[in-house]
Amino acid sequence: MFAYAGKILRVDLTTGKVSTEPLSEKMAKEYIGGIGLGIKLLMDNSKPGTDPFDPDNPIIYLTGPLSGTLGPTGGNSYAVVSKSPATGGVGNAEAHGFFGPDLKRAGYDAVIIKGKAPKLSYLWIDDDKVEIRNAENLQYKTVKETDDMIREELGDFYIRVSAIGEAGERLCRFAAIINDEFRAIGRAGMGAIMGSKNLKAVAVRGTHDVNVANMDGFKEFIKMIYERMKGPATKKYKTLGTPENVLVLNSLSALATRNFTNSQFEGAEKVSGEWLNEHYVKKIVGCATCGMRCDHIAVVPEGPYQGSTSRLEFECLWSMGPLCGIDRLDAIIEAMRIVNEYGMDGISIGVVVAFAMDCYEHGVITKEQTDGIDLRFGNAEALIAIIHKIGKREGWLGNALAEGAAKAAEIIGGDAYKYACHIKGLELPGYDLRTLKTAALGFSVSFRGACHLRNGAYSPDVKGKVNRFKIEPGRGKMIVPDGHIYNVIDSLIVCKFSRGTYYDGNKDLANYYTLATGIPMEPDELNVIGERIENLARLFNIREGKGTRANDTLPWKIKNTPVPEEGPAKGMCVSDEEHQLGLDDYYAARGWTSDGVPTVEKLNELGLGEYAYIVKDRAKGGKA
Amino acid sequence: MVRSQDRKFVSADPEKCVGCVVCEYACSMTNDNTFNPSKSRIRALRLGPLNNIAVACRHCEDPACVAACPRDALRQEEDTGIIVVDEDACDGCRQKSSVHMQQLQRPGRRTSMRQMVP
Repeated sequence: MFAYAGKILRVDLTTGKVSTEPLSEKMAKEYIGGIGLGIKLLMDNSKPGTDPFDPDNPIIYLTGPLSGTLGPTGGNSYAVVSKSPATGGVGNAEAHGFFGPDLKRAGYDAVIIKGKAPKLSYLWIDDDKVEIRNAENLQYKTVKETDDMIREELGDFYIRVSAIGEAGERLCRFAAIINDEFRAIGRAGMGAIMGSKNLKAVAVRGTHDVNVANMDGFKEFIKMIYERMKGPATKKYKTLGTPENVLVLNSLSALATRNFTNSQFEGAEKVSGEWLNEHYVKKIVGCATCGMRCDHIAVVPEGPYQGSTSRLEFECLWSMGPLCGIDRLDAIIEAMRIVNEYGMDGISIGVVVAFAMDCYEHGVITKEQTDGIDLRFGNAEALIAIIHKIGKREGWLGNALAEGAAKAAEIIGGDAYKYACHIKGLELPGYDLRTLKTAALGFSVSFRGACHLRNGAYSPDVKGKVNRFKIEPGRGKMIVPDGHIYNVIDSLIVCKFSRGTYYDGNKDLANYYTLATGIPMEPDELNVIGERIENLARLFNIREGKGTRANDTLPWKIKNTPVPEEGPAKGMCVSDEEHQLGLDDYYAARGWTSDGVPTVEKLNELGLGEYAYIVKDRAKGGKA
Repeated sequence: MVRSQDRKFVSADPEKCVGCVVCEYACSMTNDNTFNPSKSRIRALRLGPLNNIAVACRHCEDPACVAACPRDALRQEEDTGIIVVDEDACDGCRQKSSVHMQQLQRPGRRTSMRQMVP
């Protein structure tokens, strides 16, 4: 096979046993790689009902078919899939940077890691040589320190490391895995799975060639994409970057503020992309083999956090800024830096802190319970203090919050559940769903919980293609095709920032795939693959008891706290009635039952017949 | 012999370099018809997010690397001044005697230039 390594690596951390097996061309074509292949391997390599932290729950590292080539953004990627400790369903995340291509060059399309190491360890993949090494000296080290120490120990500056920080070791349910200092396998708590396996890091050095099937054609194609990347399709990411969203969403009353209380932020100007770039951004750098450059490296020039340096994207800026009522970019940059050191999901951490602040303001938690931290909205020092506590699981509250908003609300009790803004256990990203209702529907049906990267359902709302203040019939159908494309994007593992450069959509992506792998692929086939992945993920969630209509919910605040600001959005929240209507519409468009379960016919159509046993007893109630 | 000031080599502007390593891939693609940065004759370094630079052999006059090589695997061509690596002789010992990388010309081995850097 071309472009693929053609090999899967299996590692059992309990026994230390390491083995490899071939990747069949059939499986490669049906699931592409990345999260598609990952979800398939997760399904087939785990028993139903396994606790995410059980040694038997596999954590799977994956490359995509393009990883290791000069293909822009596709060349530099990897993904991680496991059962999420946040949602209990599919956990998946992708990261770019420099780690992925080395894993491919080492010769692996997937690494399935099971078991639990007796002592803190790291996995050292040096081409064909695989070793589990002691990492006790790395306990509670930051991600960056771990990276540096491993490369020092192994004596090669160019080894790539994907590691967890203290949060992962302490099983924080939104812990991330981080490579290249600030590139994160961020969402769904993959870092905690590593921690539960006593696996501090995966270090890799790959030196084999990666060859594509049609070098001349591939060269021409990627040259075209590189050229397009210089153009308007990626302008946003190269100029102000994603923080451009701050003022855009604020003007749309969609900038969720103070834990989804307000939908506009009076301090938006001071945390805007414009302000960030003018006062803080020192340089814009990029990942390996990318023609865009989007990493806005911000440095605090003065004040208490002078010298603090971090990459900052919109979602994290929003979660630790407006959502916590904080309008100080210096503190947000410092918070981001600390979050990366602990190895936590930059979105979830902000939503969790905002949840705690909301509880505090409403008297659900007291100052004694916060160990004296004045957790008011807008208190930047409190944000940083509580992040440290969560990262270390320090104190009653730090320990509770490290469980994520959903479980923390159960621990805190009382009215706390009202302030926990999550879907299926995963915290909301930076869009006010009360005023972006297509997004509300899209996020509620996403298989990894609240996620803006599973179907891009915010797009028609933000672009003004629909009436974003209500869910109408047809909205479910609208978000289906995008979900398929997003699944394909995450399986090829090209960067979503590059999605605008594939002018011909699936035709471009299919061409890209075929030139690299030599495996014929039609644009329509990609659609089917996207749908297959969506249904397989849904099946996994159903198998684990997390995948039916009852799980496709919206947070209490989205349904019960009307937007208070004057203007067209005043009084908006998502009614249960319109949400249920949207769900009916979505399930019907998918060919699922009214309970949100794929039908046996649907599964057969997608080549997933072997999993029909999962839905057999549930496919009652007829089609939606 | 070409005068040292007339020798051509690739240099990168650290102000502009973003560390994307596209140069490494392009090099192996053009010269070896494959994708493999460890075969590249240019190396992009990221010492920190704000500190990126790509380095290639500068074909120095009186090259320290040639003098230091314990296996005589390096030599400077008389007429062009280009430094050439004898792949069979090189064992990739990565003696850090030169600020530039002595094996840049033909690093066929994993141990060669990848490990030259701090």
